[in-house]
This record gives sequence, C-alpha cells and structure tokens, in this order.
Amino acid sequence: MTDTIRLILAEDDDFLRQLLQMQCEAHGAEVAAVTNGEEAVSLALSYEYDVLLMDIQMPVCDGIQAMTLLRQLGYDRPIYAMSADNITADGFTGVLQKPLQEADLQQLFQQHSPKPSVALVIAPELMQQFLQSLPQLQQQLDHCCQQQNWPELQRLSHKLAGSAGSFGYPAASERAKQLQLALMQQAPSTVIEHHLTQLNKLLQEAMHD
Amino acid sequence: MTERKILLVDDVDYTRQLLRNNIMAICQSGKIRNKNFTFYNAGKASAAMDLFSMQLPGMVFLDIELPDASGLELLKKFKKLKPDCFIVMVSGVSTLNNVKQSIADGAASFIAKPFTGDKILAALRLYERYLAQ
Repeated sequence: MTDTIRLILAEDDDFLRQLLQMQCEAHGAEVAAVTNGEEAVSLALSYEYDVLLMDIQMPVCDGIQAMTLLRQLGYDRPIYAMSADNITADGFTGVLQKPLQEADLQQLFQQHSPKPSVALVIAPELMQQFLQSLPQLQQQLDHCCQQQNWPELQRLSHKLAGSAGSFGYPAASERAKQLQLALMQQAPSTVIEHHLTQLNKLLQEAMHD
Repeated sequence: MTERKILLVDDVDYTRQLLRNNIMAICQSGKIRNKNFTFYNAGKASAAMDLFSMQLPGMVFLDIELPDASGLELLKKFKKLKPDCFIVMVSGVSTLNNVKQSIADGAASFIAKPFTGDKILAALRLYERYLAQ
C-alpha cells in the first residue's frame, strides 16, 4: 500500500488546472490532471485514484454529468465539485468554493487518505495458461498482419490489451491498445507493423520472464 | 444464506477463470457479506443466451466484445427475460458512449479492463447494495 494520496483533477481552464495541480502536489498528492468529464470518468473507473476534484462547466461531459454517471455505476470514492456557484446536485461528497483556499485543500487532505487496494489474485496455473496462449496468439497476429486482415487484427489486439493488463503486463497491454487505436484510425501499414513489432518484443519478454 | 447465481460471459477462458477466482477471493476475505455463489460460464453469446434462459442468474459479468454478437445486444435480451438481473458490462474500451449505452440498455455497472481487485470489489458491493434495497 502506498502512502501517497492519488487524485484526479478535472479542470478545463489551463491556468487554473496547473495552479491547482501545483497546490495539490505541494500537499504530497500524486495528481492526474484531465480537461473534461469524459477523461475523468475513464480515469475514475480505473479505481486507481482516491479522490476526484471536478470542475462543473467542462466540455464533452460536464462535472455533474460525469459525477452522476460514476455514482450510477456504483463509484463510491469521494468526488468534490469545484465551483463558484452553489451546487445542489446529489452525489458530490462536498463542494469546494472557487477560488480554492489553501485552508480548504488542507482540510481535504486531512479528511482523506490513500485507500488500500485489493490485490488481484492470479493463480500460478492461470498465469501459466495465459503465457502458454501467447505463442499461438503471436502467430495469429502476424498472420492477420500479413493477410492485411485488419478487423481480425483489431479484435485480437483488443483482447490482448485486456488480458495482458489483467495478468500484470501493462507495457504489452498499452502497446496492444496503441495497435488497436492505429487500426481503428486506419493508420498506414508501416505504423501498424511498427506497433506489432514492438508488441511481439514485449510478448517475447513475457514468455521468457 | 441464499445461493446466488453468477454468469460469467467472456470468450477468453482464462479471463473467466481469473474473474471467478477473484470473486471467490473477495467473498472469502469477508469484504462482502454473501459468500455463496454458483458460477456459470459462457464463451459465446449463443451459449450465454442458453445458460441465461435456463439458470436466470441474479448477476452477470458480460463482456461487450464477443465473437458472435455484441454484449450490448445480449444485455437487452437478458433484461427482457429477467428485468431485475444485475448486469455488469465489461469492456476494454471505457468511452463515455460505451458507458452511457450500457446504462441506457439496463446495465447496473461497468468494468473497464484490465481487471483489478478494486474494480471487481466495487461491482460486488454495488450488487449487495442492490439486493439490500
């Protein structure tokens, strides 16, 4: 368990976001700064953050919509609204009045501490099963790339992004996501081949761990 | 204590196993009250539909990207058959559209892959709160 509190800061104003980030970091917090509600929802659902500070008026998805969505999904960690207005929406843990005062932040960091995380249990035989599936998967990925079967390559990279991450290979998961994204954006085949080469290297490393 | 049925739908065998192991580990750790789950597994939408109709589970972990159909389509069918079923959508793509569509179609929660213990625990706790209502 880490003793650093991890915080999501959602604020679309560049200047305010940087200022708030510095203020929170001065309290020892690790800050993930995002510029809209959609990014905040996505990050919150990773369950890697202890507190969410949310501006209300943001593009794409505003702070109230993002909070409502998270609460609907059972997200039970603290979510604070940051606003100069009076916020009455149900679901916020509290409202921090803008401009934020140092005393308010101090109180926030006193009230909340890092949440102990629940470790994912991975049975050795399951890990073995995952690792044993990789050579065949690599063959399938290469074959799809040679045949320029992009939909199937996208499906396989999507699956791999999820499973590699769950089994403790975040770099392979991230690379598989990049490959998937490149395929979705119909990137040139050289870009796709580059991601696949890098992914193959990471899978090779995993198999020889 | 009532036996609760959970259906796990994912086309990757070891992913279903991982999920099942972790639900059981959370039950044994005492972090949730209910400890008595019976698991059913399906790797395809067709098998999931058959199992769902036969067992009418109380909870489903349903992957959106299945080889023979979209999990979102399956979600609608499940909710029609058993409106009070608690369905957790699982996806590697946690875009706002995906999340909103899932909720609109009746999903109770959403897990963005990769799995972590905290995400699974959050879904199980929400299910308990739902049962207590």
